[in-house]
Order: sequence, then C-alpha cells, then structure tokens
Amino acid sequence: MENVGALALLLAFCISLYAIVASVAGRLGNKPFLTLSGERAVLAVWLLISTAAGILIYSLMTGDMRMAYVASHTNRAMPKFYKFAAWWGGQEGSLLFWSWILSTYGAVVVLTGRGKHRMLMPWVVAILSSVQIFFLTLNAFVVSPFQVLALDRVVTSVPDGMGLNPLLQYWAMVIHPPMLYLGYVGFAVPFAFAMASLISKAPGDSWIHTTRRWTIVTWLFQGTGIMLGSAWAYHVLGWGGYWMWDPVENASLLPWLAATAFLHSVMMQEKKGMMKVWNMVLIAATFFLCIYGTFLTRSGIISSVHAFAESPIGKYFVGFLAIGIAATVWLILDRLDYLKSEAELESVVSRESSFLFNNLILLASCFAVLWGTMFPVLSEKFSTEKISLDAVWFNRLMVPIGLFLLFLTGVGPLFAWRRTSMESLRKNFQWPGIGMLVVVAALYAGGMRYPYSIISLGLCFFVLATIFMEFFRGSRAINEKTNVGLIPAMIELTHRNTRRYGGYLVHMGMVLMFIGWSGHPFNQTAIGEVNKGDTMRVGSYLLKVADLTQGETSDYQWDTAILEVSKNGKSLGILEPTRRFYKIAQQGTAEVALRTRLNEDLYINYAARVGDKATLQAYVFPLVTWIWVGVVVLIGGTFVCLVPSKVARSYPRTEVVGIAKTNAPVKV
Amino acid sequence: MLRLKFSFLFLILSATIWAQSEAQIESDEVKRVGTHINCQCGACTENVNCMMSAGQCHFCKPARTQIFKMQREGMSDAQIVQAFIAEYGEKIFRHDPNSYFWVVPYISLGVGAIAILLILRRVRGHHPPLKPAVAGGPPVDDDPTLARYRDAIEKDTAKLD
Repeated sequence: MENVGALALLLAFCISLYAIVASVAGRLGNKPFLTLSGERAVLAVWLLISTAAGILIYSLMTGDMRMAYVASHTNRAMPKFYKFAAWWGGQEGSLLFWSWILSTYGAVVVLTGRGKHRMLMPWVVAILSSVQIFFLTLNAFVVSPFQVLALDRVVTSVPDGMGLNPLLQYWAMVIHPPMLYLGYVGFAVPFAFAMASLISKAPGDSWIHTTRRWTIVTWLFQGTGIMLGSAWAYHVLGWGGYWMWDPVENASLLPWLAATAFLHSVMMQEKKGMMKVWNMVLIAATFFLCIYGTFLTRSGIISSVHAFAESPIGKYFVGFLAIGIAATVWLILDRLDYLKSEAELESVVSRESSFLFNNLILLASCFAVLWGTMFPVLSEKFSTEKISLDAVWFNRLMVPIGLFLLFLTGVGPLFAWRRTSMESLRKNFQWPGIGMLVVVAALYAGGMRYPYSIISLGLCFFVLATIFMEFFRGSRAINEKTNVGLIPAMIELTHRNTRRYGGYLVHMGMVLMFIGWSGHPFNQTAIGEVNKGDTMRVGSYLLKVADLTQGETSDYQWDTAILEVSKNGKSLGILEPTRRFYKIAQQGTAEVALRTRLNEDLYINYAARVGDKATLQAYVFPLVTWIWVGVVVLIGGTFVCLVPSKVARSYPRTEVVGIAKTNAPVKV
Repeated sequence: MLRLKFSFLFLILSATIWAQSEAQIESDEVKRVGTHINCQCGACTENVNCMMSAGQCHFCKPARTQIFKMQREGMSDAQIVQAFIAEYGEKIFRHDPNSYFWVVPYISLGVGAIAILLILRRVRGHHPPLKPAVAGGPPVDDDPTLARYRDAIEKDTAKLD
C-alpha cells in the first residue's frame, strides 16, 4: 500500500507541473480550455495527495510497523487520537500535511473562484502549483513518509514503535500544529492573488477584495495556533512559561506580525488607494516568512524544543526562498507604474499617518524578532563567540516596542480619515487620558514599582476606555433614535459595521492579553522537598502533602501528590499534580495541578519523589488568565469581522487633483 | 581550586542520584543559568544555539537538575557557571549578547520613523485641493433609506457632547 501512496505523490508532482504549463499557456495563448484544464489539474492534485495522506493515516491507525514513519512516531499503546496526530508529529508526515492543506486550499480557490477572476485565476493556479511542486519535491524525493524498514533488501517490521514524544501527547498540541499549518499555508492564497494581479497588470484592488476574508481567516488560524502552543507550554512544560521567545515560537510569530501589518495597511488601499506597493511587499513578506519559519523549524540550524530533527531539506528551502524572493522583487519593481498611489497624505494628525506608525511598529517588531532569532547564528559566524539569548533579553528588546504598539491601538482608530481636528482629539482622548493618569498614580501609590507593568496597565485602561466610548456613543445614538436597550443597540451598531466594531473587539482582546502579561513581574515561586503530612507555602497559599500515590497504565507509570490547599486559613480543596514516566520513550512528563482564577493562578508541578518526600515546584501567577480571556475575545472579534455588515458600504476615493490621473495606463 | 573541584564532583554525584529519580526540574531560575551553558552532547554540533536551557538530550536534562541542586545549595549564578567552566573548559560558556543586539533593531526603528516623519513633513503646509471622486468624506450607503437612517444617527452622535 505504501507504493500506492508514493505513486500518488509522484503523479501529483507531475500533474502540478501540468497545471502550471496549462494555466500559463491557456492564459497567454487565450485558450480557455487549457486554463480550465489547469484548474481541473488542481482538483486532481488534491485527490492524489488526499489518497497519499489517507494511506499514511491508515498505516498510522493500524500500526503498520513495516513503515519507518509509523515505527518512529507511534506505538501500539498510544490512544487513536494521538496516532492520528502522529501524521504531523514528524518531519515527513508534517510535510505531507503541509502539501495536503495547500492542495485543499488550491481546490477551494478553484471551486469558489469558478467563473470569477478570469484574468487572475490562471496565474493564481500557476503560482499555487509552483509552491505545491516545491513541497511535493520534498514529499516524493527527499523525505518520503512511505519509506519501509528493510534488512538486507528485505522488507521487515518491528514489534512496536517508538511512540509520539510524550510532551506532545496533550490536547492543545494535537490542535496547535494543524492551526499553525492552516495559517502558514493559507497566506499562499493572498500572495498568489497579489502576484497574479501584478503579472496580469490587473487594475484596482480586486485581489484585496477577493482575499480579504481569506487573509483574516488565515490570520486567525495562525494566531490561534500560536496561542494554543502558548497554552500547551503553560500547562505541560511544568514551569508555567507561556512564551519563551524560542526560535520556533518566533518563526510562527514573524508571519503573524507581518500579516497584522498587512491587514491594517490594506485599509489604506481600499479606502484611499494608497500604499499599493507597500501592501504587495507586506503580503509577499508574510508568505516568505511562512516559508522561512518552516525552514527554521526543519533545517536544524537552530535548536528548539519544538524543532524537528536535523535533516537535509534546509538547502531546498534556501533555494526556494532565493528564487521566490528574487522573482517577487523583480515583479514588483517591474510593475511600479501600476502601483502608484491615488491620493496623498493630507494631515499629520490623521488615520492615515497613524496607519503608517502602526506599520512601522509592527514591522519593527517583526524585524526585532527576526534579528533576535538569527543573532546567535550571525554572531557565531562573524565573531565566533557563542551567544546566550534567552527570554529576558528578548523581553528587554520587545517590551518597549509592544507598549508603543498598545498606545497606537488606543489612539489610531479614533483619528479621522484625512484630518483630525483638535476638538475631536479633545473629545476622544480627554477622559481616557485622565483615567490613564489616575490608574498609573493609583498603582504607584498602591506600592507597584515595576515601570513597564505600571505603564502597561495604564495604557490598557486608556485603550479599553477609548473602545468603550466608541461603543457607548454609537449605541446611545441608536438607543435614543429607536428606543431599544443599550445592549441590543450595541449589537445593532456592531452589525451595521462589523469590520470596524469587530476590529475594536480584536483590539480589546489584545489589551486583555497585555493585562495578563503585565502580571509577570509579580510571579511568586517556591520549590521545596516536603514529607508526607508536612506543608509548604507559596504566596498566601499553604500546601499540605496529604498523600503520595502511584500506579501504571500500559503506556506510562504515574506518581500523584495529593495536596490540601488553603489560603489564609480557609480550605480551597484538593489539588493533584502528577508526573508520568512513559515506558517506551523513557521520558517523563508533568501533569501540573492548576487552580485558575481571574486574579491569579496557583500552579503546582510535582517534580520528583524520593521515598515519602515530594519535590514540589509551586507558583503563583497573577493575572495570567487574562491572556486566555484575551485570546477568546480576539477570536470572537475576528469572527465578527467576518460577518457581512448589515449596511453595505462603499468608500469613494478622495482623489487629490493631479495624482489619480497619473496612474499608468491599464493594459489587460 | 582543588576544593572547588571536589565540591563540584560531590555535586555531580548528588545530581546523578537526583537525576535517577527522573526529576522534572524546569524553572525560570534554572533556565536563566542554563542559557549561559552550551550543550555538550555532541549531537548538535551543526546547531549554533544549542543551549542547555532548552535541550532535551542526555547532557542537558541532567545538567538542569544539577543546576537546580546547586541553586538549592545556595550557589550564585556566576558560581554555577564557573563550576561548569572548571569542568568542561571555556568552550561551554555562552556570552551575553553584545550591543549590536540592541542597536540594530532600534536603529531600523529610528530609520523607519525618520522616513515617516519626512513623508509627513512634506504634508505640512501643503494641502492639495480635494476633489471627491463620488461624494466627499464619509462612506456612502447603497440603500438610500439606510443612508438617511445612518445620517440621523450621526447627527445624534455629534450632539452627544
């Protein structure tokens, strides 16, 4: 059966090549049957890669231990759930997963775009198929998931496999990689439309309108994937970290930051016809950062708990990136005449200039993360000095930039397009500004002495106040007009302009996450060896070791500490941190015990046991729950953005005399 | 020096015993020290940032437990790092990043800010005449009834202050 899978990948490779040739020849030769044939080739590629993926999944689920991939990433005792997740648990399988998602996206683009975008679609198909060919090259010729175990050229099998890394056997880790991949791969679609628009010299912003929802959904997948990884780290690694600026974490953040900049600056193009070149650059940067992130994770040039083992695929990625970036740069430079701005900035204090600063900060964050990630590599290359670069250094670099971004989050949306009057500034910012100063003074008077936390919480208040004022003013107007309650009026207001008010909700989610991050300097830690019956203290909590129990399943041995928790003399119940030792992988994992509240989390890791003595690591993490609340609000806000507005709007371009008419002639 | 070596040997032995109990010691404090120590497992020679703080190999995991134990003995970060250097030589030490780590991102930020300020400076005192393409300013509603409704709300909103 593995031969069928390998054959399906080879066929998919050949048909992808055909899709490119047919689409390009059909478009250039004006032969619709060829372009249609190219689109159908995309569907055929999806069918073939699905067949290959189906065979791999079947082999994983049935435990076909003849196959090297199955033997390396599953064992017979693993639950079915994790056997399925082993599809993306290793290098070969996850690259096939990449290919499968890309082919699925390609099929969706072809099916939903039928009859539309006749000028763009052949180029879109050609570009998506080019990316597909790159990944199919890896799947079919470099790191095939269908290799079998052999001894003296005779196919053999092992009695049982190695199993999936126990650290990855956690629900969030099952969803986290697919979410990230859906994000990574999804940016190929707006990139393909953007490049198709350039190649075909298509006028206007049709590529942006076509891919707006696609970009938002992809951005959502990427963001959700990142935060699921964060949740996994917090709950599984046993020390309560949720972001360590690990190279692989950074690799996922880079395209997300670039895409966030794109989602903002694209509004300038939609509403004002400005920043056309910049938007092309941003979407291309987003896509290539996705490929770069995949390269970082898989090439082995940097070390990470998340990275795959070293493999020979790095040079293929470098080649693909070099060719892709060179072609994109040439294309953008060649089409500069078609990307001229239709308007000019009219005022320093305007929504437009706030978008410029927003883009600057987001891109600066992106560059700083990229710089920090590659710094040890560059440093060793040029000075031979090994560099230690951990979260502390990244935080010092990134926190000031993040705070400025938070400030812009509050200020930017309240500036008017074109010009903002002083009266408007006073109206919008007076009370939030005063409130922010009061909060900062109150925090300082209350004994808080961490400047970044004070500034962050003050800014959080400021941004939340501006958002609430926006909702309140609009909904009160509806309330007075229609006599409905404030809440229904607020829903009505949001429904009228989902993009604007959904955007505010997304900002609110970010603010809540900043509140969570602001609590970090106040973390409390206690590590102790505690005898059964004895107690230890962390913060205001008292932990009494009531019992130590142990047992085993077919997959692992477990140890549980039963702890009676109390706070200020009041019993809070029992917590049961557990540690597991997986027999086949010979690896231990922590199943931490967590008491979650909005003000703080009590987090306990059962680190070790010697006789009747337990080693406990106990932490109090203030405000951390707000991070997860913020994620939920951010996801909700993004969904609101995707709902069509009740009031259909079109935005007339404010044309600056003498500018719009200088646009290059349109050739189709 | 000899005393330091003996105490280090003692710590290694006790750490080995500790490691056999499969402790899962992962904390900010341990990682803080671990970032200054290079992995010595030999399997990640191609890897330029294989720090002991993150590695999952046969060197890193016991070494983290060892650091944890040393911290419990009251040793400072510098003493722990010195103990590792005494055992493995200077090659094990990882330096803090130099000033380029700071300077380059902030210079790029500054260059970007200057570029924006130059663009904005051009704007000051230069307000080209505006010619609305369809209608000026606010968005246009496709439905005239809804447009009237929206206008009424905007008038009400303007009176709020």
